Amino acid sequence: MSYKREIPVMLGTIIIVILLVNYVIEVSFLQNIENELTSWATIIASFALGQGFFNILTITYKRIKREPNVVNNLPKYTMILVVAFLTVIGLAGTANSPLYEFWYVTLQFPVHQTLNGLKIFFLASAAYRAMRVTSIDSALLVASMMVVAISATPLGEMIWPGSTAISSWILDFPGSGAERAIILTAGIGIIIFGARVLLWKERRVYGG
Amino acid sequence: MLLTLACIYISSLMTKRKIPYKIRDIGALDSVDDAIARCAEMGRPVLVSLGKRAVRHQDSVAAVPILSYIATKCAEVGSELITCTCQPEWQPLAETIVEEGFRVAGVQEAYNPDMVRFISPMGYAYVTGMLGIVNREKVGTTFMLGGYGGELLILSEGTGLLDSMVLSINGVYSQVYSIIISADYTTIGEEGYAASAYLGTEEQRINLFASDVLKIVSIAACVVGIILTNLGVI
Repeated sequence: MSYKREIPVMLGTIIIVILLVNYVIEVSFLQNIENELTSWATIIASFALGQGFFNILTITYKRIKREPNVVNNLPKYTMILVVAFLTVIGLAGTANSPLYEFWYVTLQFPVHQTLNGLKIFFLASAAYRAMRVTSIDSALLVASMMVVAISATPLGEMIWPGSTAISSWILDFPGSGAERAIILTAGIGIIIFGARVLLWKERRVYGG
Repeated sequence: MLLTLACIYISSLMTKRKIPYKIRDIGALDSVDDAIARCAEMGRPVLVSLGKRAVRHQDSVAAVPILSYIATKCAEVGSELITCTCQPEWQPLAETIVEEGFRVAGVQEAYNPDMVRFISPMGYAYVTGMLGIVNREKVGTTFMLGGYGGELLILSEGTGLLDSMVLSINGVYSQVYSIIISADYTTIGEEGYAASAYLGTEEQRINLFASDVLKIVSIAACVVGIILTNLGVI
């Protein structure tokens, strides 16, 4: 028996059982343990975050040392500078400080919105491939998409008066039916996966 | 939960007594080995994206065993592996899993910490960084594990446009339409959570039979519920 592996697995199982039992039957004693465990989870997650941060800096430093060419390392130097700069800002003020807000509003937000807008081109590209009629299934998909697309446009009802009713039917019945089926089976999948972890049948989750 | 445990127990008994059973094929999971072997033949790296969700999220937990499997397979066939993380707390965990995979394959010396790269905790910055890696390093196959939001389409479609095969193995149902139209192979709903068992040993695979039984029971319960509701009993 390897204690390095078995002890974390046992700890994980005990914690899962406590949380599960407390979810099903509310006991004040178990509730206290759950609250304590939740606080510990936050503390451990904070340490993991810190560990990850130092890990990234260490790896970047090692890469820079290995590659003497400054030009090749420019992105890495830039990354360290940006990280150091934002760390100083974060330590000096908070997320609500005017300096942080300035960088957020003038740099991060516009870049984020640009990429969000870029999504429409990828959507068009993906839709073009999906809308190629190669079988009966794809023909049905294209027909449904056309109806929904027409009804969703501002002039849709003028172009085709019945499109909104057909579109609503597609979305409310076949659409939501399929969506519910996917959500329901995903829920069952999560339950089974959780049970496998609980019964030690998913040892890779613990690094085994 | 008791029903789930009972189903799993019965399926375990079936394995011990060697009772034959049938599990439907899942195309996305059947093609994992082929995709990795293809990359090894072409001399192109395999890229694994761990998604933007935190480690404690269900999609992230489900990604751990799949990453372990992919790392072991890549080590076995000698394919270069790049793993990208979006959350800093993923970094030490992903390094451990990949290193463990190489150790299991018996080539621990081939493991390099550079294989696990942190990109950014922001979703759009993450996918942009990933697309840069796919373009620069001519990635052969991209595995999309873990949880995603709206940025999934950019990653999936963009990676495909850069001549990389895209395999989406996750249970993200809110973006399922994006995955289906842009990825080469995809799992839908519970298939993503079943992946580790499907790719595992015979003893683990039988758990999928338990999952199927549970689905049948759930469908039956839904049908009975519909009938009773329409009859005005409940």
